[in-house]
Amino acid sequence: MTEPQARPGAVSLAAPPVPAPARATVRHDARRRRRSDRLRRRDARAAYLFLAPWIVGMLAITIGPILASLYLSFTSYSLLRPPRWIGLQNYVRMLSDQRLMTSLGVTFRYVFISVPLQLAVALALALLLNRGVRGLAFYRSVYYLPSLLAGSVSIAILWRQMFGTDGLVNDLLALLGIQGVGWIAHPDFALGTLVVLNVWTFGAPMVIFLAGLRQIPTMYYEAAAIDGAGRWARFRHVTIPLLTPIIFFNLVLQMIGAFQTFTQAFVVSGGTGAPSDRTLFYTLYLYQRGFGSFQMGYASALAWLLLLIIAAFTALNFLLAKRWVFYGD
Amino acid sequence: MPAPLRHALLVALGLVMLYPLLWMLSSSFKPTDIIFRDPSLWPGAFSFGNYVHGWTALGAPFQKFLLNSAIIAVASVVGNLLSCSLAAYAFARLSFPGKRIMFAAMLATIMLPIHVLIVPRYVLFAQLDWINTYLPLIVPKFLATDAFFVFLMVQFIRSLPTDLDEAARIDGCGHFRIYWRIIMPLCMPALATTAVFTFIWTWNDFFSQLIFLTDKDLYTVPVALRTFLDGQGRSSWGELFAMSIVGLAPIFGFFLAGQRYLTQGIATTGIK
Amino acid sequence: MTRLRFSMVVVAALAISACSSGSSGDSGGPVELRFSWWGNEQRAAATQKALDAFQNANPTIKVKGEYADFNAYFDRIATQVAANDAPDVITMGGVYPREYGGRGALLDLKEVSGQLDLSTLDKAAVSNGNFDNVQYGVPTGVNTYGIVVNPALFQAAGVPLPDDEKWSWADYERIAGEIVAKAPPGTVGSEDPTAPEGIELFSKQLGEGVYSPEGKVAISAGTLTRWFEMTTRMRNSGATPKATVTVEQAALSAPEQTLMGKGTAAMRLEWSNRLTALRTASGKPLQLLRVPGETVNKQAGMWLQASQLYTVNARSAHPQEAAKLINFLVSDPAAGAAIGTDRGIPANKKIRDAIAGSLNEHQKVEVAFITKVSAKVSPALVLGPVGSTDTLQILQRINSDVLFDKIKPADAARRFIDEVSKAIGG
Repeated sequence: MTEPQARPGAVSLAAPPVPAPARATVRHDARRRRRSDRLRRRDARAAYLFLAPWIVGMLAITIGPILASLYLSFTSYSLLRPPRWIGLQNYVRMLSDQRLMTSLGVTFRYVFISVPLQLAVALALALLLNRGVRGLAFYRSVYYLPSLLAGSVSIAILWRQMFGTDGLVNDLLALLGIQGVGWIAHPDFALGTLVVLNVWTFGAPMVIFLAGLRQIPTMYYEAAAIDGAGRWARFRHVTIPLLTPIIFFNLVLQMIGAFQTFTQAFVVSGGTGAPSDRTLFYTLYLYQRGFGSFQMGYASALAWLLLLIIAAFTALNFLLAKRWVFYGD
Repeated sequence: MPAPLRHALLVALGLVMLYPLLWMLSSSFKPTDIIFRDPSLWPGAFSFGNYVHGWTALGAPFQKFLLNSAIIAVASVVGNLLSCSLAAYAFARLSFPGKRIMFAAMLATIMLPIHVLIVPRYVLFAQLDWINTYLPLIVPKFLATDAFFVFLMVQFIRSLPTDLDEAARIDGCGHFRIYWRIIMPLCMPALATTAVFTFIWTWNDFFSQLIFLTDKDLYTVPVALRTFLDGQGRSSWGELFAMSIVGLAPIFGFFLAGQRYLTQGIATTGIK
Repeated sequence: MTRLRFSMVVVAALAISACSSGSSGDSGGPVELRFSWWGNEQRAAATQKALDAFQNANPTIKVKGEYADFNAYFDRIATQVAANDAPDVITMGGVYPREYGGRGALLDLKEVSGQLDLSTLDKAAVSNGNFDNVQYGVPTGVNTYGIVVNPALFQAAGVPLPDDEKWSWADYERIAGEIVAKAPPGTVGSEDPTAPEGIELFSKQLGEGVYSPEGKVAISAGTLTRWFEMTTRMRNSGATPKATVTVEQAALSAPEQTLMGKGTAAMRLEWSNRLTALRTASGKPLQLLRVPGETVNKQAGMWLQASQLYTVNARSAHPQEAAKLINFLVSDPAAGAAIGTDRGIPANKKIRDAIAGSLNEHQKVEVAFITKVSAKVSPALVLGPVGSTDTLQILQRINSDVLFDKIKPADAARRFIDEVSKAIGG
């Protein structure tokens, strides 16, 4: 994984991009370098001060449990008894775990279908709502409401009112003379309804897109207008490029989130991954192993495999970002 | 797209979006016994019984749980706004040794599912004697443990042009002044987003509140709502839906309040 | 404690004044007990009354209740046990007592026998808290798995209620079919009966049962195949609901959401203590019957089971006081009056008689049914061994495949035996 790209032209530690000096100015350069060294040290000191709460949080709260879970992944741990070191056995066991493969399949399909879909809907709505629609605040609120509900206990019941065998969707289809199936419970459609559920809660990325759109300084639009750029050109050459850091953010975070999808899958299937593991998300399986079957050691190993998978995709995202994300700095 | 068509589209979409919520609203006015027998959207008769009874059914009046949730949510908002923006400024604007590693480590912390972290965390907080207090839910927010928001603000700050801070530096401004006087005001939309999401997500965070709070006097809204349910026997669905609606009100209100600031970024004020 | 040494290091650096989570252990001084259970607010209110009575009788003991709904409850208990911060008295149920007891998390009640009198309780129920010859739990009440019928639907279809002293599984299948054929549209003869309890009954009547006393799988592939063949026939004929409806039912099992609770199913295999909830939900005078096959097979399959068990945390600092509390809850008339039948029909005959007068009509039906079957139940249930918490989900997965015709009954039977053996063998 990489950090967000180094600022072009800024001092970077690995290779200070000092312009090739002419021989005559070497002494002058040395003085400048000393000064920039001093500045850099001052910057670093300031940075650590700014990061002080984060560093304390990391050391005191975050890192301990993370390392503990890494340790537990090498143990047999029932929660009820102290862990027993078993080396790599948990990781070896994964190789022949059929349900793990199933859950990987479910999760990958979900991530690669629902994340782009949700982001596309969120971006489209944000653009539509950004353009001075009357009642903007009203629509924005209406579209955000489902996201408030998404994690609640009631969502399982509400979703069945929509997609159950006797739900609204089938009632509407019946009006058209079409006989629907029980979407949530049908092996061929169960995962699809969860994708829809996720897209339905596009409120969070939409709000972030809206915030990003608001942050684009008007001077860019003014400058473009002076240059005679039309609406499409301004959209294409101002809005989209300046929004790329936010698109990138939503992509990375929604992907990390989608790989860990749990609550909605849990409540809709009652924690089982029904029907027949068609909605067995990775974290659902991990939860079943850890809390349902008292195999927290194995669950921890599963978690670390997930971390590696997510980290790999995040790193890839950062790598590709260099080609399309535009920063103002 | 012509305006009437656009509105028609937006309204139609809105109705689809809201159907489940409307169903819940309608059910909150029905007696529990008929909610599942008669799932129609329009209640045969309106009754406020679920609200009246639900408000007091949980042993303590419901405002107690609302207040508990509000304390945690507001404290979390303050914590996240301060700590995450500080960290974000460092990651976005300063260069320092270890930056890449630290940034990567920060992102890695949100890649492990909570279920394998909860037991070690419980041990940690039990050692600190923090179980059955709000500290496990609040203190981490003041220590920038929500990588989501640090990263969010990093992205927003980095999309700002550097001209302003460079000008300020030439004028002899220190980093803290630049952060406080220049970057933060320009980041209003990002701060509003952080505040709104922190409030809502904290409000809805069932699992850690369940684990760290066992004393009923400390229960929050989502934990309290679950006590309307009984997996084995009778559940009070009507009361559950009624109080769920009540529990939605504050977060929706916070969203409405917060979203005003989403529209007051530099786009409206302009850059001088 | 070698566990979590990493975070301990971190903690050590941070916590200067920590490490006093245990309650003050001075003997003689006031003792604070923590007592946990699952359930809703109504149960909490009833329990609090019993706890108040206990505290009045024992002024030196203070009891703090902790509760949550069923799923959340067991996540929390597991976390607390892992962190050595579990309540003193823990309510257990289903397959959990053996999972916890077998792993040393529960106290052998022999150690507190001075405080605890089990002789007044129903033998069969007490035996549910005993395995590997150790008594880990005290039954809160008894329960039995029977069949709930909706007489209104039988009447609407013009089908007489079965005689539960005689009927067989073939009768059950036939009756369900008749009801569907004659009752108003939208009615099903029976909900899908596939559940661990259902196949336990079915196989026990043939002398098998799901588990053997040695902790192995006892049910035979042939028996399971016959079961799945029966359920498949019933689904194909429409006697039981569509596959998708059954799967939806399995995910949301609150009584109000079952077809029986909605008043659209004529029969449902169910625990007797859910009768009240089902009756209230459906608004119909539902009845409990003995399950099919009790009198026509090798032996009766129905059993009495402790609806819940009170257990003591093995690492409790106050095991004696904890036992005293349990004894009070199951044997004291004041506690009995407060709790009523909320945790099952009291296993203590004295209490059962004492509360008989205050029961409502639903509870009276339930008590009458328990009394009727107690004389006819089979040898005590063989509890699932460690690992058997997985059985429910294994069965649901396989049943989904059967429901959607992805697998043949015989293969389903083999897969069940295979997967359960693996879950309890490891």
